[in-house]
Amino acid sequence: MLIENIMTCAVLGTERAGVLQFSSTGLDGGLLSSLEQDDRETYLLNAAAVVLLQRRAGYIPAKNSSSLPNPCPKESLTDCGKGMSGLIREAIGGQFRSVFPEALQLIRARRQRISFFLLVDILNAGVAQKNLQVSISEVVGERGKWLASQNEQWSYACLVTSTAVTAALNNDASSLFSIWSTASRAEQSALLSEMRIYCSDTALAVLQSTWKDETAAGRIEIIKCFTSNPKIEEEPFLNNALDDKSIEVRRIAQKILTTIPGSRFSQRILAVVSQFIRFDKHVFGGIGISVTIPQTFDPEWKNYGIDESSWIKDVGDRAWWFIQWISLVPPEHWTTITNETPASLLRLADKSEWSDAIIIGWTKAAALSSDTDWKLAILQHWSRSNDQRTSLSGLFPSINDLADKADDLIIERLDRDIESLHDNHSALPLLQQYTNVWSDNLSRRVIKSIQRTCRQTVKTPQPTWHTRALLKSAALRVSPMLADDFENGWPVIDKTRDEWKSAVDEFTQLLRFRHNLYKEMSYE
Amino acid sequence: MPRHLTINEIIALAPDQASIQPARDASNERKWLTVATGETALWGQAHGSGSAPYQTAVDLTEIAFKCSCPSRKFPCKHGMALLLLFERNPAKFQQGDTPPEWVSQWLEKRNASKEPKLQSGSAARTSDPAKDELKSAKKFSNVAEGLAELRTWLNDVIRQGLAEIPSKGYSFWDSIAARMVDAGAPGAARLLREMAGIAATGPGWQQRLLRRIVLLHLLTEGFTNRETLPDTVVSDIKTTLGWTINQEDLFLLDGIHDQWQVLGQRFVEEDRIRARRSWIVSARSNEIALLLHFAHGNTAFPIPLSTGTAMDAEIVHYPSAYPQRGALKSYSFTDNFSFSQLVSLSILENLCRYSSAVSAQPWLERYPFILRSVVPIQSGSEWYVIDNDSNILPLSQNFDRPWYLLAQSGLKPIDVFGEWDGDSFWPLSVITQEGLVNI
Repeated sequence: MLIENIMTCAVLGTERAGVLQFSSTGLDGGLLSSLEQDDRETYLLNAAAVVLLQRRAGYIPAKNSSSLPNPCPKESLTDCGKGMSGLIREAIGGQFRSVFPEALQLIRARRQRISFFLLVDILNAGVAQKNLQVSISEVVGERGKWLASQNEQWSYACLVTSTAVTAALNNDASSLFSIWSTASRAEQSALLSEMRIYCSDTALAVLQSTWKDETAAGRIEIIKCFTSNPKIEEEPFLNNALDDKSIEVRRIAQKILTTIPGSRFSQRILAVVSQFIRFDKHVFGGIGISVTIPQTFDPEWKNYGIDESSWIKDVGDRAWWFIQWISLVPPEHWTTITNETPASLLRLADKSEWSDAIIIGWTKAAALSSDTDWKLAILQHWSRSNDQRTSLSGLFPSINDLADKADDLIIERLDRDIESLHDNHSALPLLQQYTNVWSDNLSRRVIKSIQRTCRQTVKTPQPTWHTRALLKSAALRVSPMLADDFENGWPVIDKTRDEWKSAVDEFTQLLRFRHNLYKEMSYE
Repeated sequence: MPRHLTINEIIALAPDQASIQPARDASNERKWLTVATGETALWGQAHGSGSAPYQTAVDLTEIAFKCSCPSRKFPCKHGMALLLLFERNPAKFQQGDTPPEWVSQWLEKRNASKEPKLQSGSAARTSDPAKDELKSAKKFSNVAEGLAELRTWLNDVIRQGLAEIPSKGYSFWDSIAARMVDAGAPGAARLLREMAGIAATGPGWQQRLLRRIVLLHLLTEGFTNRETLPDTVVSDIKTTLGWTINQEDLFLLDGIHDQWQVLGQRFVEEDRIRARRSWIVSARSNEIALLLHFAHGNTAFPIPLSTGTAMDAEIVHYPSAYPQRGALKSYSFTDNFSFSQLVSLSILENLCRYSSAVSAQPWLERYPFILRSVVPIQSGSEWYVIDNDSNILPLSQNFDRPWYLLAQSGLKPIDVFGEWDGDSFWPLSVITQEGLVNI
């Protein structure tokens, strides 16, 4: 009670509350009764000093009476180590952030996990960089997933719980329906991916239980899950999606359906396309190509995602209809029915009055179906013709799937124009589309070309935008084990060429950082 | 071969956050014409904007820098870059070289300046004792006058009641604080300025404020009655009032020779002065000391310390009824530190020690806790740690890294080092088998 008396007196003030009153029994009382009471304020302060200090020195902690939640499950992955974690911390923000995805891949490839002390930073990084969420969730380990389950903003990292995976493995429909009905959209997408692997029939039933009530944004997210490895038994669901109210859902469904071999949708497409393009055997050997395009647009075509008006420069509406139809057929179909190679079919197409439309259509089809034989043949075809960079740029969003063949193609182009890597160099667009780690040979060729460009002080006093961009991407693509080599070989760059200086410095620093990452991983 | 500073230790030398990236950039090998290392120093020549390269050297014995660049920051980016480069790629440094003249001269000058320090102290100073006494008497008289005013002011506050406080502006506190500065009691001024915000700290503010008022009251009473108090208590009063102790005098005292390691650190900044509190523990006696370092504006802290830094050192404690703050009389960094002796305690055991400490030194603001086997838990917006005996300590509401602590624990018991301020705990590091992890 004494402390309450003191506090009341102190809050009201001695002017209003008068002299502090207390019982003179007990420890506090006994101690306080020895204090002088000459002036009210000093007396109150002395009493407060005794009591408050006594309480401070005698702090008694509260007791926990409730049971603690279960601790985090045991880790199955090993820690990537302090050194690597330190580098990752540098890569999360700041100068080396462009290396962050690669660092995550390195840890993932080694089947390791991030150190505990870095989990919060890395989970926060995933909130800001959604494209890295999958990679992050794969390297945070059990502790990271457990931590993410405690904080809603990190829920992306623990989308599929072990309970859900077990239910999918056992095809436990009732559990899956129940989990699905309470899951967030992101959790549903992750769960759907698991169910499509282990129990595809149940997956469709579970999905359809809430499909009609989903918003357009939700339906788009969910239907995107079918992009990877669509199966023939999923065709009815995707067919129904062709009538969806959302254009985007319809567009994605069409795109997926074209990639299901033997689907009714692709058969219907083939039936239409075969009216437009025909391969005829010549009497004296060889084949010819003939193209017939209707004069008017059939409104039924809209069901297949065909646009009526062309938006491509120099391409008329009829050519545009044709290009869109051709792009829906996997190009492998043409090599199968003609028994010709992609290269010979491309040469054949060159002779047609609709050559551009055919080749653009096949190019789009090759990109859509990721057919590497066709992609390579198309690149070589463009290479042989009047190849300037404009004819190659934007052909394919990526040529990573061509692997070594892409290296050869780019080196061939570098060899053809060896003096410098100027802005119109035909290798530039290919280098931009090749985001894999480059081979040592390609790396050396590219950097030597840039170094030659740098030496041309009159022609290129400062690097152009393209050269800077190439140096930036080269820092992420060249083999990091060549860092020592690439720190040398540069000319002495004087002060007037400050942009070259900063571009080269940026390149060498980034490359050195990647080198340290790889070194760190190999030491572990 | 000189000792490698870790990245964290090098970063800890940066005068400010903005200096770290330029230092990293300058650590590119291409930017150095030469880099070399001797037994106790690193040196190199860096490309700069001038025609002649900058000459940069680092003394590794006590970490000191010299650079010919015109930067006003200290250390400049070249000094830090040289350390970063050495940490990353020591093989690039030419080894065993005799330092060039500009380095050896600088090192000799540094060594020469260290020697007289050992002989110095007030005894060695050539001041006039009569003058000193007069000066000291004047100082006491100034402070006594100021504290008498403070006493009247505190009594006024108590007479009018704490209920009036929320309506008072900052000037209410600042004017009496300024008077304390004039009187030569900056420590009392700091306490007063900190009190200005207490009324806005939520339920229970009245008791928290009264506790501060009481500490100031004890300070005024203690100063008035100083003749009757033990020397150590008078020292505590002087320290709390903000009187500085001449370090040369302090170093006349014997210290504790041992291996020491930084257990945890906390940084605070006020009016462009940055303060670093480093708690260090000795290997043999398990004694804990607090090292306080200050840096102004763009300057670096004088000694590169970060959590985990180990050193062979002699620590001298400042005189106190409960000696806690120490000063480094001599030190050399080491990589070999064994934690085997470190003793962690239960919440109750830590509180018992705190009880003894605060009974001896009532102005003690923070006390180091090494908590054994605690689990961090969240309840609403509050965070706590619970030990094996189910005792609970609340974490400070201003502690902004509870998730880092939970990540370390995963709800499994961990040993945590941190500061207890009488109300709440502020975790600074987690003690793991592999070493200390900064929180």
